Amino acid sequence: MLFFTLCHINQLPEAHVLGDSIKSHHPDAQFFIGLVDKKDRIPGNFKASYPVIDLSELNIGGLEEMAKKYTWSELLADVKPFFAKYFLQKSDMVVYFDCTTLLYNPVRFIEKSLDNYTIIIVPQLLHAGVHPDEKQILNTGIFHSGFMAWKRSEEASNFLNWWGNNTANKGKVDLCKGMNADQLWLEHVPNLYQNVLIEKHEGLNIGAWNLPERVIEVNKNTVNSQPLVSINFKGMKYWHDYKKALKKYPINKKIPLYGLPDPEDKKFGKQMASNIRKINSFIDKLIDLI
Amino acid sequence: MTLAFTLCSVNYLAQAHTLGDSLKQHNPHIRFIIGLVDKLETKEIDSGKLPEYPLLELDKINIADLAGMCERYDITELNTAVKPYYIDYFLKNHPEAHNIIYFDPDIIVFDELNHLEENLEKYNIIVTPHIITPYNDNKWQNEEDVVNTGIFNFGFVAMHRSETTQKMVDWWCKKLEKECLIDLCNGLFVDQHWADFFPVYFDKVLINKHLGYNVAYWNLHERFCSQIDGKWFINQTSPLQFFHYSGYLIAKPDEVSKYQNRINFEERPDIAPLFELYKNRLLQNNELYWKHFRCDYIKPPKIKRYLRVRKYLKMPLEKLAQLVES
Repeated sequence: MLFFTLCHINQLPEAHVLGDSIKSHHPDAQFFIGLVDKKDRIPGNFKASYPVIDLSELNIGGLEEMAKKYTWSELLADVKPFFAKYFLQKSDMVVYFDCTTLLYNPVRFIEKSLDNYTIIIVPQLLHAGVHPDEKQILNTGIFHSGFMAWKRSEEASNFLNWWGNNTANKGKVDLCKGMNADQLWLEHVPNLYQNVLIEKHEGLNIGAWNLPERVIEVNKNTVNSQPLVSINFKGMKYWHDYKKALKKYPINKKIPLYGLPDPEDKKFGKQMASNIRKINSFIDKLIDLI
Repeated sequence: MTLAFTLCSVNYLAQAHTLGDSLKQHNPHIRFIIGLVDKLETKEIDSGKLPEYPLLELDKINIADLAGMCERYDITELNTAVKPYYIDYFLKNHPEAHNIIYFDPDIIVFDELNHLEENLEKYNIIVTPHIITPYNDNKWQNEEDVVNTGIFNFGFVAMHRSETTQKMVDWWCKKLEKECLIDLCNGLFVDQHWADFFPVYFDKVLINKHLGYNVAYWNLHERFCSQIDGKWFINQTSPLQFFHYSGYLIAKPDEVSKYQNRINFEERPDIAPLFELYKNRLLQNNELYWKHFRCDYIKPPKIKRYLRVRKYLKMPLEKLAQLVES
């Protein structure tokens, strides 16, 4: 089995910590880092201990255009189908994890499922009516693209060609139009392909989006009574132990080579504005009464 | 017993009538009920023209907060929001109904639904995808539009009575009480988008890829229609089960659907007889008579007065809002 992740230069420490956790549970597996940048731009003081494959080794036809229109984080997501195709040439079973992931238990059950399925995807939520705002999940994707697995097959390669075509051309985050980089395209996957497994393991890909419905018992290493498999710290405040692990791999920060800067987080301002407008809509209601 | 129902207002009774007849022709054992999102007593209706199927008005199915839903929703949203409430009503008031099928009124059935009823013995819920092969073009609607509005088409859904089904209906009702809106930027598209959750939340959900189900403009790129010995087939192998004439208007008989630009009759002569047949049946069932009735649940348009006063009163806060937003 081959594992890979994708990262920018600044996230090489995260990718290494993920690699260490994979190696501790799958000592014989291969682990590769896909770098959405150029290898020779990695700062000299950083010694990568896992093989790094960068974008130039992939020959993505539309890369230049993608780099011009997508932000750093969009591009990081939108090259995933191309890297997956590349790694499926090296191994007949390939597993992807976001670089912000830590593995707590082996994923032998995934390996086993790949005997019967060609594509494995993971839902964001598993339990109806628990998450406080399910429509937010509906808006961003029933499935989460932070974990996926493929078996080398005609079907997997058809899927990756179709997915890559969409991420190359329609890979922006534009929720009003039904696009969320690589992720929202996954909605179609169970419909378009035959041998798709929707993996409902409670302990896989725990993250900010599904914490409300998963009870983690740290001392037992379980989630909703199933073994804790992986936690994805994407968009979450890093836990103390995770921060400590990252310190083993210090790196000098570098701005990504490809893509546009990510927009600043305007959530707070937007929330304030919407609250102010609520006062204004109250004025409307008052006038309606006249 | 299998119970089928549709939902419409009085102006769509010709469609519901046509659906009921087509169902009865091929499946006389299935009971058909028309759920009426409208009121009969407010209208002067020529009862001779009414279809023979039972009509079940919206205010008769004990929806706890019907008034609130009418207040919140426009007519499209209301029409779709009540779907699980009707299913819930049938589950509770028709214990003899083991299977419940919903069809949009603009569907007609072309065959015995054996395949469906056999699968209902094995599954809790049966849904149909909009597409099972990619479009590979840039026409409207495209793959992202399908993502935005829901990957399954909810002009059709079938359920088998079970604990899981009741749970699913309860959850769906709860969502649709307040969040059955058309608000794409926030992930909402009536009842349909919520149903994307069905296969991840619930067990034994069949994503039915039989080519003869719910054939409509959104999947005609992968489905070609032909008649063999008087029977309709899709891609010459799958018997057509039911066709969905979504967005077709008798007043515009040359247009396949008002919601798209991918399929037209010039390039697809194979579908023309299916639409001709539909048009004739609607006319037989008094489409021209029913279409003029106004639904009691349509709200009068809101008239806003004192527009200038509103504008000036709101200006300072609006400016502040724009400032914090940027």
